[in-house]
Amino acid sequence: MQDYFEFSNNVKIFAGEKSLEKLPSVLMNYGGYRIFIVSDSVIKKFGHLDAVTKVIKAQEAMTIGGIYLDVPSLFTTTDLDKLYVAFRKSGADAIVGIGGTRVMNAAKALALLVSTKSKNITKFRGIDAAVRVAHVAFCLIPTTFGAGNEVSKSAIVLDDEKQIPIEVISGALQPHFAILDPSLLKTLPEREIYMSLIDLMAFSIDSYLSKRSNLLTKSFSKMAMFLIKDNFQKAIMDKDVDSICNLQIAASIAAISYSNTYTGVAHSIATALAAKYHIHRGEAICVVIEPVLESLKEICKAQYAEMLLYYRGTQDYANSTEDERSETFIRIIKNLVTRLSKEYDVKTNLSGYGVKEEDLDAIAEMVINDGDMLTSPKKYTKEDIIEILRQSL
Amino acid sequence: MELKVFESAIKLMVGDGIIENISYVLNQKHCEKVMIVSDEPAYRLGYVDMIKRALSISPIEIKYLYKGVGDIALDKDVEEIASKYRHFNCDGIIAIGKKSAIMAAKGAKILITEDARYVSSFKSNKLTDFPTDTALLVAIPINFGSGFEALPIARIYDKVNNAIYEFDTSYCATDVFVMDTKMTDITPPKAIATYGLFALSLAMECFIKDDTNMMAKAYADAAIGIIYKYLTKCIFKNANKEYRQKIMEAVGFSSCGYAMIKKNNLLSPLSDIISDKYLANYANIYAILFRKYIEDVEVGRAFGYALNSMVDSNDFALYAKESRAQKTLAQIESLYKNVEECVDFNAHLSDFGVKEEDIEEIATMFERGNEDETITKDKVIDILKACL
Repeated sequence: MQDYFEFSNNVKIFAGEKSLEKLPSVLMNYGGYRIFIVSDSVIKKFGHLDAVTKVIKAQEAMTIGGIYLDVPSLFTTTDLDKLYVAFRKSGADAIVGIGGTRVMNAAKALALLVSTKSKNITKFRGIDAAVRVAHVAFCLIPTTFGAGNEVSKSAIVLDDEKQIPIEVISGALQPHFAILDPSLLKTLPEREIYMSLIDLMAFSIDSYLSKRSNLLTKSFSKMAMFLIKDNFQKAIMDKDVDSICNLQIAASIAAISYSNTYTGVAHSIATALAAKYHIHRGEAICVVIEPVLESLKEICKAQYAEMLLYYRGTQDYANSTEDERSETFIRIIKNLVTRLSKEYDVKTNLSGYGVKEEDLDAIAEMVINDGDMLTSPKKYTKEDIIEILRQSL
Repeated sequence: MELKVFESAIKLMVGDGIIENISYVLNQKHCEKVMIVSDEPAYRLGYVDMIKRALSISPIEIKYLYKGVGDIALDKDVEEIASKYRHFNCDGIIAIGKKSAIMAAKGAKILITEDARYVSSFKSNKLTDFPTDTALLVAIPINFGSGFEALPIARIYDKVNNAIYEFDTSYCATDVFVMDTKMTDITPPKAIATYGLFALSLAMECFIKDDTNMMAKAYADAAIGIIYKYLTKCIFKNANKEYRQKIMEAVGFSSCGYAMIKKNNLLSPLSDIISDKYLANYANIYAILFRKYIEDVEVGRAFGYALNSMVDSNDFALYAKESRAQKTLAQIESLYKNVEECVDFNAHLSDFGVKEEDIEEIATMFERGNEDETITKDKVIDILKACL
C-alpha cells in the first residue's frame, strides 16, 4: 500500500483559438498592469510578439514595461542576470513569456528570482527549495508544444563558471496561467511539430513508467496519449488547428503528470545531450528511444501493454498475445520514429551529431547524476547508460 | 475550437495519519498564523487536538479556534470566522469537520477575499472569475468526506431572513484537500457505499458533460478505476485501511474533476432541495438520482472512455466500439446492484420519506430556482417518480 499520496496541478489554462485575447483581463486579475515580455527574435519575426503587444496595448489600463529578446539557446546564469536587471529597470509587475522551450525556461527562471526576491538561482537547485515571497503576475504563452513547459515545475540554467546545468524543480517556477492559442503555432514548420510530438510522447511514456507514478498521474498520461493518438496525423499532415490545439493540451496534461512523477531515463539522456552537444531534445529522443524502451521491457511489460492500447486502440492490442504486447509497443514507437525521422531528415544515430565513443563515459556520468533518474523504474548503472548510448551511436 | 479553461489548483493529500503532518503543507504555503474552523463532532473525536499537537512542534501559530458550526453553515458563523481571521491577522484557515464546517470556512474565505463583513452583501454574487489574494483554505473532512470539500461551492443559510446564499466561484475554492484514513476507522459500510457511488456519479459526469475536458476526464478515469476495483471490497472489509484509502482517493479525484466542469443543473439543485426538505444525506440523494439520470443521457464516445476506466484492458479490447456505450450503462447498473447486495444502501427516495404526493411540490420548488430552459418540470417529475 502506498501510505501517502500527493498531487497538485496549479496552472490555469486557457486553450483555443482567440484565447490570446484573454491575456489582458486575466493579467489584470492577477494584479499585472505593466508588462515585461520575454521572447526572442524568431517569435518577433513571425509576428507573434506583435499579436501579444497588440492585445496588451488595446487595454487602456496596461502598459508594456519592456521587451527582452536576447534569450540564447543555451541559457546561462550570466544571461539570467542580464534578464533580471532588464526586468528591474522596466518597473513591471507582470511577466509574460512567449516562445518555445528556451524562452519559457528563461521566463520561469526570471519569475523564480523575482518572486523569491533573490538574485542567485543556484541556491534553488534541486527539488522544492524555492518559496515565493513576492507577487508578480506571470503568464506563459507557448509557440510550440512538447514539454508542456507552460505548466511544468522545472527550469534549467547553465552555470557559467562550472559549466554544469542547474536544474530547479519548484512550484515557484509555474505561471499563474498559460495560454494555448493554436494560431501561434501556424508558422511552426512540420519538422518542429514532429519534434514536439516525439518530445511529448516520450514525456507521457516516462511519466507513465516513473516509480513515482500513481493512478492519477497515469490517468493524466493516458489522456495525453489518447489525445496524441487522435490528433497527431491531422496536426502534422494537415496542420489542422483543432488538432494542433489538442496536442498543446496533451502536452500540458502530460506535463502535469510528469511534474508530479518527474521524467525518466529517456529525458535524462536527452537533456545531457542537449546540454553537451546542443542537440534538440526531440531529436535526441528519436535516437535513443528504442534502446531505452528495450532496456525497460522486462520490468515494464504490463505498462507497455497498457500504453499499446492507449496509443493504438484496441486492434493492435487484441491482435497480440500478452507476451507480444510489449514487443508490439516498442515496434510501433520505433516504426513511427523511423518513418517520420526519414521524412523530416532527422539523424538516426548519435555519431551524426558528433558524439564519439570516447564521449560516452562523460555523457553517462551526467545522466546518472540527473535527479530524474531517481524515479526511473529501473536502477541504471553508468555502464547501462553507456550501453544505451553505444547502441545509439 | 471554442475557448476552454482548465482550472484545478487543488493540492490533494491522502494518507494514514496525514493530519499529523499538517505543518508540512502549511510551511509549503508559507502560513504562519492559522485559524481552525471546526464543529462539535471533530472536537469531540479529538481531531482538533491532533492538529493542535501537530502544529505545536512547528513554528505555525494557531491564533483562534472556532468550533461553533452546527449541522448547517450559517451566515453568523461565516461572519464571525471572517472577523476573527482579520482580527488575528491570520494567513490561513484549517477547516476540519463535517460538510457544514468546511462550507462555513469557504464562505468566510469569500468575505476575507472581498474584504466584506456580511454574507448578505453578496446577494447578487458580484464576484469576478479570477481572485488573486485569497485566504489559504485547507479542508479536512472527518470521516470519508463527500468530495464537496474540494468543490468551489458554498451554501450558507440565513435563518433570520429564511434565505440561502449559494456560491459557485473560485473565491471559495479549497486550496488543499486533506483526507486522512485514520478518521475513517469507524465508518460503516453503508456510508462507504454512499460516498463511493456519489464519487462514481461525479466522475461519470466528468466524461459525459458537454463542457468537460481531458483534465477532468483524467481525474474521473482514476476515480472510476478505483471505484470498480475497490468499492465492494471496501464495503465488505471496511476495517481494511488500504481499501478505505483507495475509496478516499476516488472521492478526492472525482471531486477535483467535477470542480473543473459546470454543476449539473438538474441533479445538483434537486439533491439540495430533497436533502434540505427530508434532512437526507446529499451524496446519497445525488447517487440515487444519478442512477436514473444516466439512463437517459445520449450515449456517445464518452461512454467508451468511461468503460476503459471501469474494466481492465483485456476486457475493454473485447468490446466492439458500438457496444461500449451500452456496456458502460450495464456496468454502472451492475455496480449499484452489487452494492445493494452487499449493504443496506438507501437506493430509493422513499427510503428518506419522499412520497408520491410530495413529487409535485419538490418539482415546483425546483422550477422556482431553475434557469435552465432545457429542464422542464415534467422531466423533473419523471426522474423523481423513477427514483421513488
